[in-house]
Amino acid sequence: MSRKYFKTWVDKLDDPAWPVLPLTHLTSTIVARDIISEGEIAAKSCNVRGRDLVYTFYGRAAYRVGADKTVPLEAFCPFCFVLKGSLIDNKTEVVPFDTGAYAGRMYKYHNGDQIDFEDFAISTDPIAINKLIAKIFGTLRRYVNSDRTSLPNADDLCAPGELDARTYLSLIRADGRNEPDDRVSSVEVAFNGAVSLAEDLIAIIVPHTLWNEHAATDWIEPLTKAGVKIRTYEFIPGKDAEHYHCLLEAEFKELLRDLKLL
Amino acid sequence: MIQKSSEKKLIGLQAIDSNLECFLLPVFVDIHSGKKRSVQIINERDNKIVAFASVFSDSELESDVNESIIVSIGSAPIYALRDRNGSLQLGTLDSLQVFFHAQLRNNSTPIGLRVQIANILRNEPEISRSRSEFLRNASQFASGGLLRSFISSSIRAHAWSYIENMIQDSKRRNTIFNSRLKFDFHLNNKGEIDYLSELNLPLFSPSEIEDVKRELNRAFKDTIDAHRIQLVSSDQGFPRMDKSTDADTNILSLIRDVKKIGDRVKG
Repeated sequence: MSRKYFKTWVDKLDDPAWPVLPLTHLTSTIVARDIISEGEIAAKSCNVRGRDLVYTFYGRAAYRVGADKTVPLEAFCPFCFVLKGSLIDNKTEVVPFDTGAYAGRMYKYHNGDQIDFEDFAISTDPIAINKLIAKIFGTLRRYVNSDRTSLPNADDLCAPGELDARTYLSLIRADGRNEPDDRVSSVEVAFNGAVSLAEDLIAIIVPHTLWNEHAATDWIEPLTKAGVKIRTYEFIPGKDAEHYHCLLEAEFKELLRDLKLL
Repeated sequence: MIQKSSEKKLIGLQAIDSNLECFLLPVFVDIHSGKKRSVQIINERDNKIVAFASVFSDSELESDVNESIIVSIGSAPIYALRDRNGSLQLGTLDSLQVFFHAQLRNNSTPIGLRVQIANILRNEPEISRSRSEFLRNASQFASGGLLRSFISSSIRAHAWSYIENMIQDSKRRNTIFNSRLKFDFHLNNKGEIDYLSELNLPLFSPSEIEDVKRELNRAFKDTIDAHRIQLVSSDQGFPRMDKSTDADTNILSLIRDVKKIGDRVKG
């Protein structure tokens, strides 16, 4: 049974009345082709939670396609599905960091063994997510940019007895030498079933070579006909994996700017 | 997993599609054991193999290779390209120079592929020409948003590469590269190269910023000027994603409206 203290603390925070950000689901291009063919992102077995889930991030393209899978070929380069934020409902689970990294003890220097990631689950409501972001980051822009330079002091954030909130702040501060990347403060939204592309896909971000002179690659073409926005990043063979990820993430921010969300 | 040692033998190639005219990924194995499939990791600064990354434990490869090609850390990387006839061209950059230049000159080479070849050759005029051609072709069927995203990512890649060469101090260079998403060079809605800094700490001096912007304008001005109308007819008016309006917003009709506006601008 997970603790509810953190959720209760977040629920009591002020609502900044911000827009809802989209969700991202990153995968390799070769898996993305299967997803588009099937018309949905299928839930996959998750070792962390012990059941089938679809993982997304709120307002950030933070997920890293594994370093051993991201290699200089379109098939294994990152591909981003951008989904409506309104998909978040009571069938989802929201935790304000990457639970996979948590379970992998990436954050072990900041949390002991006596607090579980489920203790940080918050309400399955975009308003609750924005409340937390407003309290921690101050602005959506700082959250999207993983800008942790202006995080509040613990005493400004909460009372000394609000242990979970203090632990969370300690986690995302990550001042140690084993500092985690931006996933430490990316809000994770997990779906308990498949996510259909038919109604809720806003855009995709793909390597530029998936376009030819006259149209999109045949397996992307149905999405363009459905009105899904296609964004590309320049894919030159031989770059390192992080190069492609950074191009993709920058393009996601560009999309948010076009959506007037930043 | 990164492998840092031993010689590797090329055993095959992997591609995203068996019919596409495209680059393929060379796959190697340990020369002694014949196991541990890996791909080369290239150091962008000197274009040498810097490591091998383990991949594809037992998946079927797109193409087998009969040639005996051995590489190791520090070797020139191997490129593989399948041409329009389906035949493979395989070798180092030096050995493929003539073929690559022929591909650039051939109008039937896919535009996206020409962008890649020009970049691998580091041929500035060809990079500019191929990017411009990509945009011209894409503008016939795509909205301004797609065009701007392509050119913006080109601007970013060029800026990162230029900055990497500009900053000589390795510690400072690493700091900048770990923060590269926090300083975003891109094309704005007005069709101008813009700069967004998301850092409180200044990583560059004002003169360095001006230097980068000058270089970006030099490299992209002609391409941008040639496509300015399409580049600025972007995703203006795209709906906000507020919860209150999200579910009710007919995104498709709005996109169509934006396209109509774009078509009127072009017309």
